[in-house]
Amino acid sequence: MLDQLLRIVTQRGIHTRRELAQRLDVSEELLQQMIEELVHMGYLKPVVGDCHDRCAGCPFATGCAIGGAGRIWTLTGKGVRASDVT
Amino acid sequence: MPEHVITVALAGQPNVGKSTLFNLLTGLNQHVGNWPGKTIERKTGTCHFDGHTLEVVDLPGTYSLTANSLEERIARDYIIKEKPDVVVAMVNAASLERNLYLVAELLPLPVPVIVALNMVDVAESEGMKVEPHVLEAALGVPVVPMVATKGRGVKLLLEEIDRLVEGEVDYLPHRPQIREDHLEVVEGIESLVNPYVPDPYPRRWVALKLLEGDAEITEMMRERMKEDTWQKVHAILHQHEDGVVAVASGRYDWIARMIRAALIRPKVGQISLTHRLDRWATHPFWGLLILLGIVGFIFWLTYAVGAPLQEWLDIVVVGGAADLANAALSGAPDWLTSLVVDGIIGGVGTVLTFLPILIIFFASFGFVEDVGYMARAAYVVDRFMHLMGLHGKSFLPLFLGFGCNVPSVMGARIVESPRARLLTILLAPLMPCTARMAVLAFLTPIFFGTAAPLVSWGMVGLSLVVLALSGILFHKVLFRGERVAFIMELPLYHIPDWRTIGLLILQRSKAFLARAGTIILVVSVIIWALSALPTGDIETSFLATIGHLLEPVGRLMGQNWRMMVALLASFVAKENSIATLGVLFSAGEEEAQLGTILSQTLTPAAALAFLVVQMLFIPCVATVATVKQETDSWRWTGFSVAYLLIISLLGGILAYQMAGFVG
Repeated sequence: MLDQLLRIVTQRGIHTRRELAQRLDVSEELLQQMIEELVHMGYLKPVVGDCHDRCAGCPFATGCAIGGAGRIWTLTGKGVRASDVT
Repeated sequence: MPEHVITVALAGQPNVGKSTLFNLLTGLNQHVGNWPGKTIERKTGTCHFDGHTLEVVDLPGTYSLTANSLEERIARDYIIKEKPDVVVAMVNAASLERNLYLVAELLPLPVPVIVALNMVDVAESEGMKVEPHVLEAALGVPVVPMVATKGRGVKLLLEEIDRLVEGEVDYLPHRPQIREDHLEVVEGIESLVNPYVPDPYPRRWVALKLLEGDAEITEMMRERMKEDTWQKVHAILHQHEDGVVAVASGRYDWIARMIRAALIRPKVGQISLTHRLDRWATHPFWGLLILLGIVGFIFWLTYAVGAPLQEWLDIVVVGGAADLANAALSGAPDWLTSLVVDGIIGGVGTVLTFLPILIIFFASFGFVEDVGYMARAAYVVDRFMHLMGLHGKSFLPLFLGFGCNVPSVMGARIVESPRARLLTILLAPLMPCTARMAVLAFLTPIFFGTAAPLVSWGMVGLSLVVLALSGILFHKVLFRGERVAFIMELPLYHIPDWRTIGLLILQRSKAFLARAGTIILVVSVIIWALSALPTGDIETSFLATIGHLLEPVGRLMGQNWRMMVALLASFVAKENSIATLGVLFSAGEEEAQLGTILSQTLTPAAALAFLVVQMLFIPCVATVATVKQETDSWRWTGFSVAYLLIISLLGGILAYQMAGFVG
């Protein structure tokens, strides 16, 4: 299931949690859990938290749309390698 | 005969009602201490039922048994080493999937498990229905539905514990299995570690934990095994670095199977509003249409409300200010009157009239951001973005470009891959920023009347098409395709917070006014000075000399030297196009509005060409500086400027020639 998730994620572009949940035939709640596990394992990483640090020095940070309400995760190098194998 | 004491361990994730059950079972017969050598509370108690005494141990609440935390280690060590007679795995029926993870980890341990399905009432109130018997059949272990807070199901649980301990029920759990392609790997590890696994530990479990990279078990086995055998195990583990995924995958497959079997979800009618809206908003076709519709509506609003206000401000405020200044400076030298009226009021004043247009943009985009739509927009356009080697995440900084290109370039910082980041930075200046939009909103009604929104739409569309084509070109030529992938959470739609939007408008308007008061003022004065020096006649001024130098290029696009100077000035700040035109055309002209003069000076084809160049031209100096700062390379900055210069001029020439051809 996790390997399938990694594989779909690497296929291309943005995926929403809902779309992935539908493709794997699981609930969004379970998908969220899988994402968290993959983050914990180092295959995915959250993006938004990263952004806030980097944006610390940006004068536009206050009126910035990036890093809004929705969280984003991206594959790590490890995640890409793993999806190549699986 | 001494009474047989049954040891029951209560396991469960935090907040599933474990303490409530513990209190119900043990009442006043509780003992609270600490786990040996740990500061974590250990609660035990006794309970008498049907002639038996139950020793109930409340294990720390844990989400899993991966030994990541002290609580997890305590829970798993207790079960493995102390071997209670029964583990009651308490799960929240309303959050079954999350809770089953722990059950998936409990089942491989050498102790029978009973699932206490708590909060069935909460699950039902949320429209979910869990079938205990089906779940029981799927799990292969007893399942007892409960509402611990109301004491429901406790007796049944005790009976079930009794029956299990007495061997009255077959205990045949369906355990999660590792993904098939790793089965041999686990078996290989198991056969190697087999002689060394200390007694209470199940061998298969140890093999799985090694594959998962469990630090505690790895350490334990490394110490116990002979070096050469350990090296063999280590080699297998090294080769199967992704074993952890295979093991966890097995658990998720198992959870999904259980859920499919035993959980009935709310019917379609009960699906949330966000979900229903997203069926449209993230649809490949309708979603794109909605996005276009929203952007289109914002433009329409700008023209319907902003443009007349701008015109009014231009006539009343700028015109009024000019009259006032003329009157106040009636005795002053001509050059001073000209500086104030033509230079400052003509330049800065004209730019200030954009404020209503900008406020509408800021408010509209602020609204779209705040309502939670932005993530959907990023999702919908992603299919196009990936053609350029970019993904929705680059869309976010690019989308910011609608406001201003500077944060857009800076926003590229969130893109991890250096190539994708550079690509985003190179493309960001092609986003039509509000300053460019304002120029567009000012000029299009003058030349195209009622077709203005359509032309503006076309211009924005053109910018985006050029952006897309440039992206594809850069992606193919400069960078080899790089794979980037994202998972996005689409936030719930919510009613916008007017305070947030108000603040956004205020901040951005202040920034705009600050620009008008500084950079645009300075440029207006310089342009005025260049237009007045050395002779006082604009036709023989320094500016005219510069303009005439650019005229050969301008002629290809139907532009006179003034328009070329305006373009050049837009490098400092985009609004300067208008400020410059304000200075240049108000010089020597009395009472006439800039719009009227412009419409008499330029043909629609030339105006179209001017707009095309303006949209695609080198970004303002602030953006160029930011590009330099973010790329840390003069080469890429130079490339960006040169590329945009060439593209914009070619675009302008093409637009003029084609428009002329079509008539």
